[in-house]
Amino acid sequence: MLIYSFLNANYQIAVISDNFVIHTTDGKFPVTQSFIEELNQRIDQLQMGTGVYLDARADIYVVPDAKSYALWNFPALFIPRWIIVSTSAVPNKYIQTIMVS
Amino acid sequence: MHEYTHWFLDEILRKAPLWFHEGMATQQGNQLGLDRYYYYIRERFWGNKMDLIKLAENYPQQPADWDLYYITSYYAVQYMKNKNPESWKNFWEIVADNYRIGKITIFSDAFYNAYHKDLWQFNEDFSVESKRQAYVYIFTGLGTFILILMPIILIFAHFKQRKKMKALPDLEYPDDSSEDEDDNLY
Repeated sequence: MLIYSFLNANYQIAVISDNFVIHTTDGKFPVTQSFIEELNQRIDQLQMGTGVYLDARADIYVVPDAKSYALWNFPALFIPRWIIVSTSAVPNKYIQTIMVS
Repeated sequence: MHEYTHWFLDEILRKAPLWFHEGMATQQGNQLGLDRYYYYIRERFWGNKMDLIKLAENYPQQPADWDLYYITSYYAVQYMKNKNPESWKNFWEIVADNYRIGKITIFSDAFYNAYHKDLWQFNEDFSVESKRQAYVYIFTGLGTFILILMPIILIFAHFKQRKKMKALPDLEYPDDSSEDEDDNLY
């Protein structure tokens, strides 16, 4: 948990939506509103299609480089609570955080 | 969306097989085009298949096989969904009910309760279905072959027709005078 707090300290919330929160290092996320809306719509469709409506929002950390990605990934290997899913689509069994690099 | 789907499934399911994760994520991410479908049936046709049980927890060792793994996973989920829509619905109802009472569903339990078969049997059924799908490859191949040959066939037919026409004896033109005589009758 301490490591998570340490890593998280460098990130600021850039976007808050109904289904997810995007964190970036500078608190900015240069995408259009339509991107956010479309992603939200597709998540809504998934939840409607399955009938499972999640209370939690997914935390999406946009990491600036491969080094940062490794920083997040390494502790996640040992602390199952926040093992991440990378863009290479490696799924995990204990995910709490989505990492988009 | 692909990544979100993994997160979503992890929130609600425990011990979900990798193929289910990847199949759902590929489906939600709209990552399957006609070219990948064709690649899948071609590989199936030539006997290159992925065993869902063997690869329930690990990716194929060879990166070259990953693409086929994703596509196979996609079709396994499609098969699960389309072969028996009622069971698919039941499966998600079980998951949703558990989530509402704060429980994470064990995948194999929900699967068995919804489909009344275990994952081994599902793998067998899917394998048979995939083999059947592989024959699509032959028909598509034949269709493409005929399309490619079509211009050649048409040109050949044209020349043959021409030759035939040339071989026909020339007919004499009708006699104009006799026609005039006929006209005078009316």
